Amino acid sequence: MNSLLILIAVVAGVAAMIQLVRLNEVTSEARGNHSEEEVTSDENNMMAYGWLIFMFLFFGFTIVLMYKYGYGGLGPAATVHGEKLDWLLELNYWIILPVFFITNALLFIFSFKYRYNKNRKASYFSHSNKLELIWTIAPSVVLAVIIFMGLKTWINIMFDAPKEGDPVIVEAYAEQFNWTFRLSGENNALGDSDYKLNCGPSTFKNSQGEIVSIDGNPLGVVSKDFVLAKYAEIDSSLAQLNRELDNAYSIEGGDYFEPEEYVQEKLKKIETLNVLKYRIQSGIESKLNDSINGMGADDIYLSTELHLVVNRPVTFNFRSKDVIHSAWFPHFRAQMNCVPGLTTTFTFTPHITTKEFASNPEIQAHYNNINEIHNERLTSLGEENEKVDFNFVLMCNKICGSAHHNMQKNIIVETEAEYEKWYECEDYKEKTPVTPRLDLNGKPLVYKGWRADSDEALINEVNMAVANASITEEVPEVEVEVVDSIAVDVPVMDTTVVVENH
Amino acid sequence: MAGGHDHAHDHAHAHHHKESFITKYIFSQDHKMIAKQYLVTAIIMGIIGIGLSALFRLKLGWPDTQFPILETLLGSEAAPNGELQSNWYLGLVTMHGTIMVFFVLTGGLSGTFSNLLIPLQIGARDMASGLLNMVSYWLFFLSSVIMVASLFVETGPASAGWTIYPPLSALEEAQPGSGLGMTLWLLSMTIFVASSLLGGINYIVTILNLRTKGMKMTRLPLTIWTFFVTAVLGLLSFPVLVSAVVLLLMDRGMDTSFYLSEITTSSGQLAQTGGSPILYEHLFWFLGHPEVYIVLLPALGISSEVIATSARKPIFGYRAMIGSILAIGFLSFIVWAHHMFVTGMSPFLGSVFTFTTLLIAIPSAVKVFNYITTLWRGNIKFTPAMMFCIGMVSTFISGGVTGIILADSALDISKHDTYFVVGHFHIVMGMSAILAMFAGVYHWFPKLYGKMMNKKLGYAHFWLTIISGYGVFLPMHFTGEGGLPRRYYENTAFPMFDHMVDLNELISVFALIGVLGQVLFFFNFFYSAYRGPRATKNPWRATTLEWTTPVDHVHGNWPGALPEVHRWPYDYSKPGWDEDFVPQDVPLKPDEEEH
Repeated sequence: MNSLLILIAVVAGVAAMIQLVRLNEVTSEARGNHSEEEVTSDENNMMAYGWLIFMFLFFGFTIVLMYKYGYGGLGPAATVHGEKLDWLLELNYWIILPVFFITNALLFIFSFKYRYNKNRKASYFSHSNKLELIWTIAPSVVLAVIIFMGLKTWINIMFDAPKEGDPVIVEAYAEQFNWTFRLSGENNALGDSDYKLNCGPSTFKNSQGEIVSIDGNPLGVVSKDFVLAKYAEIDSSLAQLNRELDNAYSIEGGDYFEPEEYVQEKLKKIETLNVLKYRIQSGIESKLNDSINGMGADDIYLSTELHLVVNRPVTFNFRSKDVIHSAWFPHFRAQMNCVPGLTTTFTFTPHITTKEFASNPEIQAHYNNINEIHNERLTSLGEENEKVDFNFVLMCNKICGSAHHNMQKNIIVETEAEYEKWYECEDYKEKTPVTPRLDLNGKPLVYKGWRADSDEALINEVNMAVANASITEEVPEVEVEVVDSIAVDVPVMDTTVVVENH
Repeated sequence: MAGGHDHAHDHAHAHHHKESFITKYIFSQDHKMIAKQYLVTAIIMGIIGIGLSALFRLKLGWPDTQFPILETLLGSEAAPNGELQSNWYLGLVTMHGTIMVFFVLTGGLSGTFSNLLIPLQIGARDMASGLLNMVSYWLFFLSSVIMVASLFVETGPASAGWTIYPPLSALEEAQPGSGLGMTLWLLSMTIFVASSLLGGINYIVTILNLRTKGMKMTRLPLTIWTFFVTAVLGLLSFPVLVSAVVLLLMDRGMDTSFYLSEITTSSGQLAQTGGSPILYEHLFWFLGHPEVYIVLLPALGISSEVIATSARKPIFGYRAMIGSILAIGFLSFIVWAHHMFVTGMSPFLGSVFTFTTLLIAIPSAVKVFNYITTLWRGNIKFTPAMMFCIGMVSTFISGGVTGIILADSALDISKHDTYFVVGHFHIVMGMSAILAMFAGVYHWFPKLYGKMMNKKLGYAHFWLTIISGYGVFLPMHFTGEGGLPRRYYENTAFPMFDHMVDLNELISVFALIGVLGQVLFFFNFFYSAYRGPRATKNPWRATTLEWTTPVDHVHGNWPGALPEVHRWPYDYSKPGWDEDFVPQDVPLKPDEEEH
């Protein structure tokens, strides 16, 4: 019924328009031929005044927007480089806004002033080298300033900042649609990671020979235990696949009774897993002793919010599990893409704590407003009201799939004392997927204090520990054990045979 | 220069007289018919393209409202109970971008006006190769059909953004739109590129070889100069897009790893290592940035022509205009990585590209000042086309100045991929090009259809378009300043952007008004093509050669000999002449200086 009404309305509208246009044509034809070709002086004046009115509306709209929404809601920059960026942005606005208003005004005013007059002839003014020179050189000079200031800031952010003040290293790991952080721990170095070791929940016999369970190795950090955990996961998947193939095999018929694609899919998966296992053996396990950086033992994983210390530079290492994401910290004026297969970095120094920032009257007023709007919306949706507090936020800013719009984490900047308190509190450690807070020799880490690298001796100690670590000795034995322990109740085909069949 | 061709063309001309319906209206090799075909196809694609934007603006403006019309139009998969699903939101955004950039503003703008104006304004019987021209259109048509068909795929159209960065576009597991929808997108774009290459090479050859006697390069109308540089840009950059697309297809189907490396999906680790998505970004933007000027240059050419004609005054600084067209064309090839400042590309490269990008502001500023000086002491007739052109200069200024901020690698850190970018490029490229395209249609409609469009509807259409255009895209700069990322399905998933609710609603209101305003144009266009009053030979009293051809199309354009050119195309209000225009084919008076 509705669509019928809409259809009738559209048809009636089109018919009315046709009649109007016809009427217009008939009346104007009565006044003389070629009505659509000649712009009458009434029309011309109307359009000329139209430009003047438009100019006032347009500038008025721009100024109202600047007045009402010029405060975007982010507040002053919360980082050292962010303040420089904001200053540079303001400088740019001071240059481009006058250009915007003046050139637009000239355009509209000239259009108005030089509207058609049949008693006048336009001036035959076709070129002037002097004028051309003026408006080539003037923009060049202004742009030279903009380029110089811009590049100075860019070099400062990208090249100088990372080298200054011993930044603490933090990893932000993006995946659809979540962020995981990894703190570099006492040694301020992230352990190597490899996407091949990325695994889910696994139960395995660790290098100490104990049976342990982990929730997973979501960041693919390299350690002997994680290699064993990944083997266990692969083996149990292989066992499952082989079981499925067995179930699909008819002994009487001597062939699979499931469709060809089903069998092929399983065989392909088996092959992929075998290749993966081979690549871990040859590419990671064999290098565990020497070339792999074993600094990961003390790394801490956070699936909750991230805590940072005020005035302490931080270097983020960004990685991605699946597609390109972008780490966007609007309050810190920082952004860097997270690219699979590549580690990107960004260094900044937050110079105000969350608490201080939130107590800024500007931010308080803004958040009162947000609370009001937010709760009005919740009420209209019939949901319970909630209080929204200010927080620094990390969000995704590169299209990454269906929940791209909802992939954010809070960042808390606090004083060193507050940070220490949080760091020592055991709560967050429970969220760490595996807690081998041991050095590479299996001994508990003894370092205290925030960062080891402030102390030369401690760095040396860690490096020695890495160098002396002998962690792969038992690998073949353990591997066999793991495979056997899972394979016991599963009469499976020899996986290598399967590959050949395929 | 081209006098020797006359005989051959007259010969060809004689053969064309016996035409069937099919050779005249469908598989036509006449450049004027092909121009019309391009235009009508682009208008239909335009209806779809802006229609999609109206649909997703509904969701962004009123996030909690259900719109049953969405379910009616898109189906219950895409919008159950009138709630647009996020995958489909991304699909609509992607298709809107792709259709508008490639099918409307590249195929439509360049295809229509290059085809119509190149032979007419240089004094040629037709394009150098009518056959290639026809094939070019039909490939464009085919690619349009495939692109539109991908909207009807069950898993949805391509939805990785119009830039389709892998791995999102390469992995079917990453999002449903990366399945069949993406395959169709890639297929369609490959055909589209083939079409624009055939078109482009034809334009270049025609301009270089088929100019009539006396039509020196320095007597070409600026439209032809922009079409020429545009064709060169397309010819050099589109093949790079094809290579990017082919490599992507191989990554998708043949387990290669050009762009894929160290990826874990829901089905486990992929074997690919060593590839880099950044490679794709470089290849894509090597096309993508010249593409901006492929869209913009014809727009600047059209407005040069219309502004000079309607201001009854020579375009100011003709040679400087040519110089800036060439400078923009050249610079557009060495600025592409300003789209990639925060991708993890070497920061040193960022410095280089900041420098080259900001250089483009100089020729652009020269062009703007020349337009304004052309208006100064002119005698302006506000035809609908002129209204659109003045609007175009305004959007070129307003969008251009914010480009200075985005070109600055340091400032781009906090503006990249926010709504600030969306506002910027929609004004400087989207609005400028679409306004100039409308100007071109209003101005050359008498040449296309031999009829006049309705002026009053034209004025109404113009004011609705410019007001709603600015109403949509100016506020976006402010949401961008507030840090709002683009391509967010909802801005209310977390409360940080709740204060922008009214601004987003305002944007949507203007968007809907703007979209509805286009109905005036579609009506005016189709009504006038059939029922409009008949045009005279030179309705705008312009100087260029196309206005010396008869109102009704003839094959070979001029019934008799080709006109000979004696002067530059901008002799408006020349002292010593009674009329305020002197056509290009009028010989100089004995004591007259050229200009």
